[in-house]
Amino acid sequence: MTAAVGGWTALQHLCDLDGWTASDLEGLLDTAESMAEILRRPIPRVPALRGRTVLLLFYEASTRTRHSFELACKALGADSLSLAAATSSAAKGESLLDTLRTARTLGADAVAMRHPDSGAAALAAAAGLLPVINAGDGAHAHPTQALADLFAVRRRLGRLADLRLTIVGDVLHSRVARSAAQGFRACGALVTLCGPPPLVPPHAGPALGARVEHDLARAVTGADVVMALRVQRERQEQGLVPGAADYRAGWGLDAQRLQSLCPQALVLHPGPVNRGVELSPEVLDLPQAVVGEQVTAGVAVRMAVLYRILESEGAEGA
Amino acid sequence: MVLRGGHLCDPVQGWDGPADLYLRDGRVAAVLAPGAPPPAGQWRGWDASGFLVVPGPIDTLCACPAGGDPWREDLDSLSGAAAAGGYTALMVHTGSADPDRIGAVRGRAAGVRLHPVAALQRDGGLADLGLLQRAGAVAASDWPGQPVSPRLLRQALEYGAGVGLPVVAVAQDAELAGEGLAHEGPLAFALGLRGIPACAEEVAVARAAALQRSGGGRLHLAALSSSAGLEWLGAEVTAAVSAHHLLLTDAALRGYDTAAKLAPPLRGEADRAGLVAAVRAGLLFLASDHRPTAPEEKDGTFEAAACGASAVETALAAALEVLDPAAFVRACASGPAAAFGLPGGTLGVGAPADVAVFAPRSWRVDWAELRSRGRCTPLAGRRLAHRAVLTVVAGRVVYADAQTAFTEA
Repeated sequence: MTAAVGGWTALQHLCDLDGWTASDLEGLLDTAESMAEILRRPIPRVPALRGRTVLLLFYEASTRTRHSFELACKALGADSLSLAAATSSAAKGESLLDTLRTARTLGADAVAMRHPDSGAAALAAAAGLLPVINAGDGAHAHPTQALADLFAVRRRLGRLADLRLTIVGDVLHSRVARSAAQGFRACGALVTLCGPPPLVPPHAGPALGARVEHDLARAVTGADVVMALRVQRERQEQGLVPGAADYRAGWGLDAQRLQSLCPQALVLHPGPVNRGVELSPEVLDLPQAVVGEQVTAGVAVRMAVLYRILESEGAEGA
Repeated sequence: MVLRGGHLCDPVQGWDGPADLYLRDGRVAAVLAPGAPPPAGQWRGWDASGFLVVPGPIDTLCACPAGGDPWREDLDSLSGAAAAGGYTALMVHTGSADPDRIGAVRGRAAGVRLHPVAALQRDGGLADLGLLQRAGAVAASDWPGQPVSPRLLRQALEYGAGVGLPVVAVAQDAELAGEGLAHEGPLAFALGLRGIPACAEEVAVARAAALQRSGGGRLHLAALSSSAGLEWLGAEVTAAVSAHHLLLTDAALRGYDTAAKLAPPLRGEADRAGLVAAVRAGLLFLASDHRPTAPEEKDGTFEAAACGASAVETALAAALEVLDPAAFVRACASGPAAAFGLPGGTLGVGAPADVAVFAPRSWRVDWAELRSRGRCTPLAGRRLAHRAVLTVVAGRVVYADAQTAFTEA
């Protein structure tokens, strides 16, 4: 492959976007552009990672992220091995490391993993058994999703610096929000967090280097990008929000609100959408909704991440 | 024996300077100016010049080890570790409402004094506080174990007052703490760890203090993590803080270090500084909050990890990082002795010969060198300026540092 891959340093693990600079991120997105070009070919395959095996280790249900990694592996000629692991709460960490040991013995070259506990990817990376790509750990991070969002937004708007991103919804429980806030901010965007105070507490601002604005109209007015986060029914049971109708009244995004407050703004949703709660159904059909492109972007950025990690692995081994 | 020339600090006696300390028959025989003629008799001399000599520290919060497997903490390994850390007595929280069990811990021949603390509830009702007191319990506690209702806590305080048993309460509202893992603040938010709000502690402290105020009794709060509830403390309501909370903040959680997963959680710098100031002001006691864990309990994710760390070997040296000798002695010796009616707390003539000696010798905390079988400490890698070098219980040396030359004087 002759893609523009110069200028980046070897990537060992991708646990979160801590320490990533704008040029690191833009560089990875450039690699992802090359990958997207491959995906547009009649036969979207290159043998760049032929003979390499990626373990997809999912301790939490996922279809979209797992399929995205599978497609990324396939496009680069790598084999993927899916393992939906059941968690035993008694020995979560132990079984995780044991599984990685077994995977390495069986020839896996890297692992993309999702785990319900925050910090699980860092724990796996620290064990030094395999290169780790975090496909979501608890409420902590989901870096490849953030990269996909950055990719989709850069494509649409041509830049990331000085964009105004507003994230609306359950920031407290969202690994997507954390990684997106980190990634967009690193690229020079101004990030605003919005939602009911129990889901967007005051310390969310300093934690993520963002502005907190609980009023939806003020938060999205003038935004270039609005990201709507999923609100799970569970939060209602926990008493963090009174109910779907109440949430919708205060923080639900419908076409009318968006048209009047921020008609230009792109709308992102990490999905799956609770239609009628955080987004009204017609929003997904608006021209500024980037829901479909996020899926393609997801495969391209995961290809870029796999390529960088396994290429550098191979170079070290050679 | 005589400890010569050490810096003797005993706020109860008003001593804070060099002295020769004479111990005989398990008691303090005399305290004389350095070099003064000794009392009649034969004295085996230890040179303590340059060292800090204090009344034996008493730990107000220490988990009673279950033992069982050779790699798990038992009372012997706990006692050995505590002696090496400078403790002469431990309030061992047994979680048991069985007088026989209390008696067994009480009567246990160990290096340091073991003061059993009983459970205050049994089968959802009040434990036999009178029988437990007679069996040797020095307090009744809801630590560890099921949280008690405000009504039961009030009953324990009232009944405990009648049988001379103080009540030790966990200073955390279980419902507000929920399934939290870390101090609720920016760091836990960034790490994606569920928060434990400081108000979970403040509410519990205020509630327990109000119950004490209404029904009487002696109340002690096991371990504070926040300075929010300090205003409720007073003569009948005491509290302790662990040395971990005096030295560390939630910044220790970066990288998901499970050794720093403690209960109550490490909080922010304002709380840490407030707690240090409260100990210096004589408002708080020092507790080790020694809660050893097995390796498999700390090996997994932060979420799956158990709370607690080994602390009896490091707590006193760590406290000396932030406390002057007088505040140190009040927090770990004279204060607890007075609050729980325990022997010791002073080195006045006739007092028990329980003494700890600390040398100004910098050392690096290394979990692999811990005597505690827990082998897990959030202070690992940290340098401490003082180290326990000699621990004496009832006139008997239970720990003497091999590297220190106590030249026979």
